[in-house]
Amino acid sequence: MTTMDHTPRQIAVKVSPAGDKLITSGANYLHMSKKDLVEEAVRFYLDARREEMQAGMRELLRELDGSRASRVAMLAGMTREELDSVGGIEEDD
Amino acid sequence: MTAEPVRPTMRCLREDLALAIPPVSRPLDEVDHPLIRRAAERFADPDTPHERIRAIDDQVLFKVKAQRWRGAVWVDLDGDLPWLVAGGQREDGSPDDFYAALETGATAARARYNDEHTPPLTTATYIGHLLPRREDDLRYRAEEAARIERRLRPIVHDLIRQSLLDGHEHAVMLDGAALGIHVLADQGHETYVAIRIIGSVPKRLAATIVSLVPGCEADTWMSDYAMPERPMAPEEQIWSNLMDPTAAAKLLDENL
Repeated sequence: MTTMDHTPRQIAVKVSPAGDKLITSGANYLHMSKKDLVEEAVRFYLDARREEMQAGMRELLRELDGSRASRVAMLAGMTREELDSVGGIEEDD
Repeated sequence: MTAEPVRPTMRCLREDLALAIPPVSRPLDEVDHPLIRRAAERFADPDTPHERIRAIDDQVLFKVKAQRWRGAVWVDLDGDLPWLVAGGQREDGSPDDFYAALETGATAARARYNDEHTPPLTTATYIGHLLPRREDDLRYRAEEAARIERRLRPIVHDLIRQSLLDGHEHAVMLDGAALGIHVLADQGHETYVAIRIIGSVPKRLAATIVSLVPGCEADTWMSDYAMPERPMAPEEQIWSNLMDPTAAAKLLDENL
């Protein structure tokens, strides 16, 4: 099947002169094209940040035990003890 | 402009009005007490004139009276929030008049303050110990969190139900952010759930939303930075997981 593909094959990305210098020397050092280096580096960086975000989420989720008190304390940015000290919250719904 | 309701401080509620502190789902400005009700009426309109307690000179306190009750209201100018900071049942003119007792206590507090601090206060009174403190700030934040939490659970569960029924993403606006949920149920096999939040949302709110999806392992939530069917929007975060099909079915049953 033939389809019309209007997506350009290459897109220009603007970087600073210092960034371009870094990409050029990095590509030479790794014996790869600048395009491949940028694409792989971005993918690598996103994966690293993704791990970081997931770890942050897991850490917050560990504070939640399914109770309303844990959710209210989480939303308020306080400990369960602090929540209890100012009145606590009922779990009756 | 709507005035903020008058809130009693925790100390005033406990010690002066002798009331138990209610759960944070019940805002302190709604506690049923004649002095709190009267203060709320008096401060509902910002243009209502108030009588100042002249004997107190380190802060501006206003009188509020309800039946035999007397109180003192202080307005936090930063947040334009009025606080009932003291109350009592002593009547004007009696030997233990409330406002006279307030002045005596504030004069003694000023003396104690000056014994312990340099430079000394040049005012005749000190009422710093009556003003809202950390526990009042915690209580205020907890009440706001309780309001948000009460709204969130039905919103998240309704979005999941709607998506389970038609297989499409369903979204609502939530305080300036868009919350979308997409559930893909694979006929008795795995059920995939994705939560999309567009907008600047605190991490703690995102975690609470994620935690409200039933039937998901907490340690297996994945952060996605690209979607197969559409580009990711600026300020969008996407969290996905597998959902226990029985939890999904139970959620649908709750709606019937």
